[in-house]
Amino acid sequence: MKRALLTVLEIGLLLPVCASIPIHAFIVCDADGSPAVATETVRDHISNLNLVFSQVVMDFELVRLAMITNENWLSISSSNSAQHQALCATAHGTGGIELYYVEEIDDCVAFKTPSGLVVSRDANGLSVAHEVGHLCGLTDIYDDHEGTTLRVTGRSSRNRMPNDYGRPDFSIPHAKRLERLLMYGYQNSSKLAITGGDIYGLGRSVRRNEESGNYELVWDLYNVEVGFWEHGTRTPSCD
Amino acid sequence: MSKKVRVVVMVAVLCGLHAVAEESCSRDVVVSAVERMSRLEHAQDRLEAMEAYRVRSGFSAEEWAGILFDIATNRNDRFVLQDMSRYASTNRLESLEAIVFDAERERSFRLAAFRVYALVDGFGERTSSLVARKSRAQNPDDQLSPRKLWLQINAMLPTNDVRRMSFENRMNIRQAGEND
Ligand SMILES: [Zn+2]
Repeated sequence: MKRALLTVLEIGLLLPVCASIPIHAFIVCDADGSPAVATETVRDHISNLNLVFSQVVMDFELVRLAMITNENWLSISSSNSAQHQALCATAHGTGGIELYYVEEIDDCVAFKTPSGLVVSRDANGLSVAHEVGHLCGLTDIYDDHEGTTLRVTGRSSRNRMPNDYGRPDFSIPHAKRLERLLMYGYQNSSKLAITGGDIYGLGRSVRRNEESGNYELVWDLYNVEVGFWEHGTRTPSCD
Repeated sequence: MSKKVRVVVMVAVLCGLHAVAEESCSRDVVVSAVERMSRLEHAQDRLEAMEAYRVRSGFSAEEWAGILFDIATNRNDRFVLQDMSRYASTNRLESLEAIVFDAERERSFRLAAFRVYALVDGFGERTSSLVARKSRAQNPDDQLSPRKLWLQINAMLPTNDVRRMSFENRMNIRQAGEND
């Protein structure tokens, strides 16, 4: 009963804020006008995005789909910030998310810049959704990473996902559960879930270095900030 | 064969087999580790993982470049090839060039080989010579045009980068020489 009431209250609180988030998409074309990706690819990515984010009552709408003819932007080098800054300066302050579709990026399939997402032909709807997860304030979560000897072992349990409702299957290894999360740090085809609460896993947490006094990112096993109620925002931002 | 000799031969054979088994097993371990790391969503994350793994496993930069090159060419994985640019020395330029000219391979993979070539060479004389040779040897059916190579240089270096200016100068001098 209490849980049902809570859900009704939550939906009531959400209704006023669930207006669509506008998406402005730009496709880079070469000198002959041949586009880096087909317009259907963009639409397909947006419908994937809507599918994933419907879990947290968020909705995206493609409000602009424009072509940019500039063959210098077909191939993007993520280390050449002058290049992607110029590309992402195409649209400003749209109040939504700007997606820039290019033919290829040298070392990844999609990445976020301070003024939009750069998405390559190799990206799929899930890679775009993962990046949008970051724009909504969520963090990457891992079961293991070569950069540390820490790793997630053992079964899933209530205290490893303390603020999630429902009765999840606790008999599975916890690492398996992490593989289904949208913010899982490795690419796979099963990462869809956005949880309400944070989830125990391997992540980079901010620590103060006692000697230097500076704050740094260190690997740690803790309740990683992937929970939408705890750390998400409905106004995604590139900063 | 005396009994003693036979035992010695047998032990030697077994040791050899064991060494082969151990070597192929550890190679499989490395290959699967690289495959997993190559699935990391973010490039920076992948580089961090790879460097930690390389250092822990005791591979030199040169050895690691060789491992990445083999995996990349077997799997046609342009991202693993790209990762190699951090470790490769000019010893690798010839095999990278072979990929750039290999019309049987996918264009994006050949472009990645060109990027690694240019990075390892530091956008030097050999890179401009490669672009010039590609222009001369261009086959109309080849998906990878010399223009694409030029655009790669543009993509990698900002307009005010001295390496880009000297690259363009060298290309202009070459072109002037060929027109004479
Ligand atoms: Zn991420």
